[in-house]
Amino acid sequence: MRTNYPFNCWYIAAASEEIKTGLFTRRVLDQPVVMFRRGTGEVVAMEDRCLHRAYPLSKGRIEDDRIVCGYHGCTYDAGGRLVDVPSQGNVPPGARVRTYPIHEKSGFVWLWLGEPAAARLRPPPRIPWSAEEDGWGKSLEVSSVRANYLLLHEHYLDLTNVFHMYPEAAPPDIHTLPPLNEVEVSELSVSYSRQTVPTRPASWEMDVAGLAADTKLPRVEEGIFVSPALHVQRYIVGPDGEKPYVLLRVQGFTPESHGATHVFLQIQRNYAITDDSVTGYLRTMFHEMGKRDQDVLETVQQQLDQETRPHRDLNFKADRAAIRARRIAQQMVDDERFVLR
Amino acid sequence: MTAPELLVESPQRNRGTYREVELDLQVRKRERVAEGVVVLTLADPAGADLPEWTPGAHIDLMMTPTLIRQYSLCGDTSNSAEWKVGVLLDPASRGGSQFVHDKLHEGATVRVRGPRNHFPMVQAARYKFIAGGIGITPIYTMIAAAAATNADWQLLYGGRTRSSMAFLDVLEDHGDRVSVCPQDETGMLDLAAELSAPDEDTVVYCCGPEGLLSAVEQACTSWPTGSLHIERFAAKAFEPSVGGDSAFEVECQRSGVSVTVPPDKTIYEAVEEAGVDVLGSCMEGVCGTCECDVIEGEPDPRDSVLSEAERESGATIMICVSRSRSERLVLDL
Ligand code: FES
Ligand code: FES
Ligand SMILES: [Fe+2]
Repeated sequence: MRTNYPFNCWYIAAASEEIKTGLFTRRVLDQPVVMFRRGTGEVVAMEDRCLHRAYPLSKGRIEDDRIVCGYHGCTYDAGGRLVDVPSQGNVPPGARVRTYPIHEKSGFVWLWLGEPAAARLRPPPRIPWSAEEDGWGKSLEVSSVRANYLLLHEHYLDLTNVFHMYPEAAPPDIHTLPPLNEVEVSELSVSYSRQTVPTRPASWEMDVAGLAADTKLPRVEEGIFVSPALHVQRYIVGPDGEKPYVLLRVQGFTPESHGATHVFLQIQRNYAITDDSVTGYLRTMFHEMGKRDQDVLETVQQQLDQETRPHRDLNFKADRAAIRARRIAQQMVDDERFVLR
Repeated sequence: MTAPELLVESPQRNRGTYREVELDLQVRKRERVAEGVVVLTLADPAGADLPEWTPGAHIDLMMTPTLIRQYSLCGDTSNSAEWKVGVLLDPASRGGSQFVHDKLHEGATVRVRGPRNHFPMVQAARYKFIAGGIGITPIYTMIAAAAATNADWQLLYGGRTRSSMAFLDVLEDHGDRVSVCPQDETGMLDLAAELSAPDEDTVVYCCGPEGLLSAVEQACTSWPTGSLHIERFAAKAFEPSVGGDSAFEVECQRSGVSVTVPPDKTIYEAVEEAGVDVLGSCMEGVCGTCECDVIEGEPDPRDSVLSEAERESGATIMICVSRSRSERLVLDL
């Protein structure tokens, strides 16, 4: 099947905390990738396959910043170079496993699988709105959804599903979301925002932000399709007040293959920063919402997989951001695989 | 340094709910890079990141509500702190370049819209770049990208005189990949020779004055479809169809609206009046903002954005200028 994700793009390959002392493997864009930390702490990523036979390097071990294959013991340095073949004295010169550019920042390990030299033509990935370093409360969950990554983008770019899927999370005085009031596009990004009328808080908002049941405040919801790899949402209660309550939902979507996506979900907040019970509460709540999303998305993917004739989805105004995002991703894919038509 | 001034007096943002990014940026630097050519460096006054872009992209400088000009970005795509545009200060101009000359001093603020890209750089084994005059600006970034990825490339760069040609110092560092051809020294570009051998693995990128573009189009007729990519900032002249334009029906499938487009109105105007959300910018078929998918019917393309192949396929249409050959057109709107 023809893939619909671009290679020339920074994707999240792992949360920093996932790469500890051993070898860590993950399939990204249908490529097996092995990662580890050098003694200096720096992450190294290379193709997870020995040059000798089709045996994953991740099944071997690390010795002094080198990977020793678990099958016949071929050893590779952090640059991917084959440096030792136990069964013979000399090493075939120039033999090396492909390594990939890495950029680790604020708890995420970003990986570049595209044209290696093109990595430095693209700005290093940044998370908009985020208090990149410390200072905000954060929780993180890594999961996997058996659905194409664009279905995930589409799902989160149109939150009009909230009232059907999570009625309990909606504030009590709002009964339907207006279509996005603003959608702003540029060459490679789409952002949107909507503002609600003042409302009393939903129960989760009382629990995590300590809002009193009778505080009536407006809410702003904004989001950005930053790239095919990243969607960030910002939810602000009382945006014009003295103390806006800001919640960020950072979602890294990394295609594992055409039909599966790794999801890196980070929830950041600017309130109750040191309260671990709030972190836990939000983690559980977003985990449960994620499960319901996963259910719907996997069902859609299965349906698509079973279709025998092409269908054209009907789109509504609320889909504008998602349509544009799909188009951006498609354009990036097309530019990469130009064939003379 | 002059005191900062905001050039669009009462910032009237495009009111539509679906629109392109608009930013008020400050002129950080203004450098003369050749006779009559300045490069402006634009940045957010508060230092915010600017949207990402790729080689070939351009922005609109919205000098006044009615004076909007497009300039290709010519800086480093990895720099999200600033954008650079090259502007030709044409002494005969009463419009954009005059405005840049008189008002866009260091410290001034100007409204910017975009970026968007209708001259995207596709991945290829070999690139043949052809630039005329200020048309070097998008090509300049493409060359940086081609050089960085070790692609094979060649540049043919024409201009009036050597001193009028921008970026020569950097370009000439690339040795014999670059042919600099000032007209007063070497005469007209020899396009026939340059493009005489069509090659499957080569894509041609050309930007420059209309004369150069049409000459290159001519010279490339024997090349495989899709190998030529050109950037046109002024709309291509179209022969009006015999007997004038006729009316046709447009159905906007997503919005469930159908309208008749009379001969004296564009599809864009007709559907907008009917309350359909549309996104547009240049209104003359050069920017590509208003592009939408054609679900049914045969469009009559009149834009300068689509390639020959795209035109033939009829899969998308620029609704600000194009019309319909069939009586009915169903659009994804
Ligand atoms: S497969 Fe790795 S050493 Fe033989
Ligand atoms: S608005 Fe620019 S091409 Fe239609
Ligand atoms: Fe353009």
